[in-house]
Amino acid sequence: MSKKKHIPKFEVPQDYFSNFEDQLFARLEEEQFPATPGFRIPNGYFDGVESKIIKKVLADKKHKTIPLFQRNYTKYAVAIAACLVIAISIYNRNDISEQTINNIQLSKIDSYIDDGNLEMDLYELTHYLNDLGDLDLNLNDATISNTAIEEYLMEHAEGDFWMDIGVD
Amino acid sequence: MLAEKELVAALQTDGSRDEAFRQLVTQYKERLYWQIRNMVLNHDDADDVLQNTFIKVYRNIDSFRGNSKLHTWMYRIAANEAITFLNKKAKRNNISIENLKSEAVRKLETDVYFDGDAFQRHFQKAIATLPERQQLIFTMKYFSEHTFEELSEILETSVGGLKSSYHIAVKKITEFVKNNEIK
Repeated sequence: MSKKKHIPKFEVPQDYFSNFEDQLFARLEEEQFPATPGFRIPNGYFDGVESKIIKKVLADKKHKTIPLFQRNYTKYAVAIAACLVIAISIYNRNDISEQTINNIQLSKIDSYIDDGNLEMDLYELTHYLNDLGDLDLNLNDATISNTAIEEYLMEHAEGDFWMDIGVD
Repeated sequence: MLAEKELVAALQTDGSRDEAFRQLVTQYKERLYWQIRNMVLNHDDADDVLQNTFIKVYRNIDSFRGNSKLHTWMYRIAANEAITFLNKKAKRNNISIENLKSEAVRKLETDVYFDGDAFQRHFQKAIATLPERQQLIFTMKYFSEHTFEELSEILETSVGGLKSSYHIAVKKITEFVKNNEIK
């Protein structure tokens, strides 16, 4: 009587065996690497840094400028203005007049930014974009979704973008 | 110490925010510091970036939606702050980010807060030759010892993609170390 062959019904992740060798040799190569980077810190650094951080955060809170406008919609208007600046630089338009943008008081927004009241960074700006939901901006024939703006912000957040909206 | 969910709730409540923030700093300062340090190499720069990171966390905590874990979000902010810092420093000095990193590695030789040997310096030189994102993946995996699953949440990249990038980084570092003399 022949014995039945028992084949266990296990499965493996896709490409497991084709990737196995690469992963194994990478592990072996890692064995040759130094275990630590060799960095050290000043004595007592971690004890001191905590109070430094708390001080800075509280000072940051104290010096937070009182907004000209109390209502939250101003931040959305500023976010829209920032998006328009980016849209303008993307589409190389320099001659926006108030007639082409409805219901946004650009001069008020400009003053608000110039007075240093816009303390908004990339995270805050992208969160406001998320709050705006599916907002498509129509700039004459160009339509820019807020997703495209967010991606543009993520890629070009430094340098020109910050200079354009006067944020340090 | 509060559990993460309670900590987030406390951070997002006016009356308990500051105390909760102190706890947050106590809990995460060292892990974030070393993640940043492995990216910027220099202690003073790491100190700046660490402070910037926590300030950013404090400023943006109300917009934390809980789509990821709090510590994942913080690691992500730290990584972005380090990259931003390095880009700004390169721009200020009118050099490329690659040259900035080479310079940072070169300065390790006389850095009082580096007590590694020549091979550890050589290893940092090898890491500095990797593309930026690959450097980030490598240092976070190798030195900070995140699992690929954790890295996937932090960097919002698939585990497969991370593994592939990491193993390519290991190969490149090995080649560099073999083909370049330790100075």
